[in-house]
Amino acid sequence: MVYVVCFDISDDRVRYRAVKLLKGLGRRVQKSVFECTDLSEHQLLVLQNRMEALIDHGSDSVRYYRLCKACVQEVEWTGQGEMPRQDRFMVV
Amino acid sequence: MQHLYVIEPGSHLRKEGETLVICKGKQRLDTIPATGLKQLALAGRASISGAVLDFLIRHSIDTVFMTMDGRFRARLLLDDSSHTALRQQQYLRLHESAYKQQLAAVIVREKLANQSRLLLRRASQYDQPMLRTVGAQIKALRHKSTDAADLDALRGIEGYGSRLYFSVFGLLIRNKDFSFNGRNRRPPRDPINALLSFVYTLFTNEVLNAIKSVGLDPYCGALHEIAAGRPSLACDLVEEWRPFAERLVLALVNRKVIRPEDFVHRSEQEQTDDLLPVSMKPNAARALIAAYHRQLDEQLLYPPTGQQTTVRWIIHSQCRRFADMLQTDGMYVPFQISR
Repeated sequence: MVYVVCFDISDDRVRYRAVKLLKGLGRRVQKSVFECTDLSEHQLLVLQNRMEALIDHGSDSVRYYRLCKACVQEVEWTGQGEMPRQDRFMVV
Repeated sequence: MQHLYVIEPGSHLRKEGETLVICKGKQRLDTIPATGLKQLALAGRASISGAVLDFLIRHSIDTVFMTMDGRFRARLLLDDSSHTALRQQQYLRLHESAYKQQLAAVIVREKLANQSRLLLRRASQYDQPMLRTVGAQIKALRHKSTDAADLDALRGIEGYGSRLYFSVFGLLIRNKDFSFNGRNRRPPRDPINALLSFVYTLFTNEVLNAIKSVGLDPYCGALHEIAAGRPSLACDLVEEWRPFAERLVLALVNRKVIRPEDFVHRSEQEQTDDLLPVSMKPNAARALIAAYHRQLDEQLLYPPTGQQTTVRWIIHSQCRRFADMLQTDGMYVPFQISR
């Protein structure tokens, strides 16, 4: 499943850790927006769990948007950017 | 990212947090999320750090080392969970010589059938009588395979069929920049052979993965004798996928996706029979791998279920059927390409 995860975290250290966690799951498309194109239900739950342990529930927030196949096709943007990448393989 | 191929010469893989970083010298080539990785293929002289190795082992990621021309060199041997009952059955069944012979005959018969189908189909497309003649010859050979006296005779038939097949394979190439004069390997000595070797390795790897995920012993086969380091069962079960590999190479060459400039001839020291071994440049390898994955994601009708299924999944289903067949009294039915 494709998820868009975005966050608003005030503390630098917490934010750094959240970014580190998300980098392992998806691509950073904006400063605080990640596209996770191949996330299983289980991986999402683990991610949510770890996020909950990290953030300050009084001031921070993390939001998860699930996108269906059709929605992914309809993604639009202005300025820098590209379509959400859903490659299953990569050659370097 | 499920499959990662590293073909950039001299690159190094590091782990940073939960990401894999591919570097060359001090330059960062790419950073990719480590989650979801299923297979890592390193071609040429790519290296990995201890942390990456630990990650690969911990998540039991299939790791293959191969040469730039696609020859298999090594694999990270992870402790596979035991499937003793199934394997015992496999050893018992493949020890019965009559059964082994029968199985090998089916594999050869369907291989020949697939080869003749490919030739006959192209014969009517290109209007080449030679293709039709050889296609018919191979088709006739098919019946001989079931009557072969022993495994050696069977291998002889298979070899003869392949020789016939590759004697006209050059006619299928519709690009005058390339020519094909018979199959050669280890090392391949012309671009077409280099492409074929590379794709065969990719398909063998996929079949090997499927065999391992079913739990069979990949080293014990029927048509291919047990030999040190050779996954004989994978070699047996990849036979039915060879036409796919050949079609892939033909498509790339005929549509001019790959050009003669994409190949380099290696040093003269390795020269044999006045032909230099030839290697693919990274760009050609990229195009080939991309085409290969597109092929595996293509949907085909899978006759046993009657459903449209991706080729990748059909390969896995075929291995599962093979395992079922070992446990019951049935005969394996290799996958047949459509006419």
